[in-house]
Amino acid sequence: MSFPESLQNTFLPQEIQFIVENEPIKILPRITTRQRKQYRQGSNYDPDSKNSHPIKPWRLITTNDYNVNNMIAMKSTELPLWMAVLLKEQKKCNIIAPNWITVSNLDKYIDFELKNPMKFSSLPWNWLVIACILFTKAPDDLTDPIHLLKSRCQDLREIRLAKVQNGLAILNESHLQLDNLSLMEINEIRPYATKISDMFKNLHKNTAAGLGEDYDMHMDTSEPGASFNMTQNP
Amino acid sequence: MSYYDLDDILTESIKFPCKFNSSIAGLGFLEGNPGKPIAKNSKIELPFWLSKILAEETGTDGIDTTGIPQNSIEEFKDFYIELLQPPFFQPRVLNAIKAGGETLDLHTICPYFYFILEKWSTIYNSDELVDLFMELLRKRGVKISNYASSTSMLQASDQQPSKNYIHNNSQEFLLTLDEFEKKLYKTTQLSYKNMNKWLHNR
Amino acid sequence: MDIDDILADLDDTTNIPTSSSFNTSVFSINNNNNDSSITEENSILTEDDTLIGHHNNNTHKTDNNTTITFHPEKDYQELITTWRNERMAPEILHYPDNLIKRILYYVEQQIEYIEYLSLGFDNDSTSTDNNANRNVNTMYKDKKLSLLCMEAELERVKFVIRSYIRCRLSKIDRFAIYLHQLINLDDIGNDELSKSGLVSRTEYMYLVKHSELLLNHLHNTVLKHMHENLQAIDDNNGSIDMVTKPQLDNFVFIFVRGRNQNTNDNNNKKDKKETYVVHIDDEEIDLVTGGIYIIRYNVIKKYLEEGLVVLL
Repeated sequence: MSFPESLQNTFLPQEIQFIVENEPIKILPRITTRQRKQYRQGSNYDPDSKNSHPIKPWRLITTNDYNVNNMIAMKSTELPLWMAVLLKEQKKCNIIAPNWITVSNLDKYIDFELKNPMKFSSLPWNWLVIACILFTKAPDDLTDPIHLLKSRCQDLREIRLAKVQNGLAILNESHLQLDNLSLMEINEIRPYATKISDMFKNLHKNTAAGLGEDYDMHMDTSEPGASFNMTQNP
Repeated sequence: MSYYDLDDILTESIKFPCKFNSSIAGLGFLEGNPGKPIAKNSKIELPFWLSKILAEETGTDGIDTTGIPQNSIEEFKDFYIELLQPPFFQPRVLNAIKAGGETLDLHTICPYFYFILEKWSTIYNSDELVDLFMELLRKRGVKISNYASSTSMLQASDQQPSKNYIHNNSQEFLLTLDEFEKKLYKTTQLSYKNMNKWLHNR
Repeated sequence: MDIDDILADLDDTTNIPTSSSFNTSVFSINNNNNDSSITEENSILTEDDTLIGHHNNNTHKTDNNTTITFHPEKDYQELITTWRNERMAPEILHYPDNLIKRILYYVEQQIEYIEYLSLGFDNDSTSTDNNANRNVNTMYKDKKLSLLCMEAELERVKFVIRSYIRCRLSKIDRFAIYLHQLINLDDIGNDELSKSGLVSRTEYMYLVKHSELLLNHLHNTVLKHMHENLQAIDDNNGSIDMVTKPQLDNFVFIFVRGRNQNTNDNNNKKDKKETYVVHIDDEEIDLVTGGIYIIRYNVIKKYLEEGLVVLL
């Protein structure tokens, strides 16, 4: 098989992590890579750069390599998450945790989630992955005690999961809006949500409404297509 | 639904009670009388793949009726058969669904409950049935998702006593699911399991 | 490097290179590409004007003095989007020929560059630069670090390409007969294929060979023992079409990206969020920019092709 059945129409959580790892994150390098001859053209990709002097020690093909070629110890810069983690593992940098990973900010999100049963707070779309990576790879870079942060994230996950379950109960044959649901959370419910919606659609397609005929006989009380959204910041 | 879909094939082999609208020569073998005609109004059970064709075709379909006396055409103007209400759509079942079908043993009633309705609705107007079944699936779906979530969690933890308790319970629950619901449960559970693995193995 | 090469070193797809796995792993760099294949790539690059990206800050002079623009960062982002869309779409999507060519070109060049660095050809130039304040030891370590990152990055790109191609191959397997009907055999001069753009040339070869094997197998095991009239495998006269087709009305998760993907204009004029209309049954629905929906694939297909919507 060219592709296992279990990977068709869904991602593994590890693949979601892979996607999130392309996102930039702020770090505090412990090393200096900037050289006196500066690579002012660090952003430029030159496939023949080995022929031009001086040699660029870091040449990257998925991201702008200016930052990584111009790191100065203890001066903050931004790198893709996967590289930040790699440097962190080599003890070459500290990761600057995004400011939503603090007890006080997470409490605000929890508060919002509790007060708005039909909406999701606007946590970053990758919050769960970022939090999990930082907890395991950079626990010493977090400003608040890690056990407090972990329990806040666990709370957030459980509250949101409960809401997702409520959302699943209003899935229908038409569509459902689920703003601010993070990619990992979507992936988790994806097989259920798509499969059951497909069945709703298949059952519905031969009814008068599904066939596009006039139907006054029984007015639907429940609107097809529901909304479960929010756009507000806590 | 694809040609090679096993569920589809099995769904179509479910037997439906049918009533013949006219006597047809040579079809007696269907009720165990080979060589004899089948009589008008005789009731027999036919698999869906056969009955759906007979229920949608009339004796005059595709036949040049010019020159045939009107009264002999009359007799064949009806569809060959009429599908009678199958046991799984009978009021007894529908009432049980209306009363809240979460605990209903769907698998015993019909292992391809939703698939067969989908097919039934292509022949007969069944808007009310569809509404009822969609509501049923919605309710049972939430329960399926909850079960999937709790059983996937248990595989990550080692609490033996409660594990067995829920395990036994869910086994019983699973037996009441129809084939679509079972598949839904399986893929949902796999997804939750992968997620738990990811959360804990780091 | 073509699909055959990639297929040759396909390993388990579930082996995803996450950042943590790069600590100790030894990287095998694909050495299959001999000089001839590289020059071939180069000639493709110079011949094909459309390879040139639309951003002008990176230019590269080739022998023929044609100017080619490269934008690896943008290309990689596009590859990720293409990969994610392909993974979630029920049907096979158009093959971005030039994008993949560029990406494979970067990968090849990067492999060469890494070899070049690790063989130490760069020592002269860097040592004169840094002798004053850095000793050879730290330089060596830094170089090791940069090589580690570059190799890790390379593995990440290779993973996406593999996963992408595997996903497409599985769809080609599943919809073989359908794709045969779609890409009419007679139409296919080599150029026609690239114009239809649904599958790449190598994918097309795979489709042809694979379905040939499959048909032979079906014929030898079952069909030849049956009556001529019953031998068809693409009969659509019955109640169900024998040909397996993609279920275009299946549900997918989408994100409405909208037109101004990179600007922050959206935040400034919150009231005037762009919306895109779709029709489901008799209902008209506005998809709001920035929104996440679960919705039927066929109603958003045209927005997906325009890039206004991405699959999540």
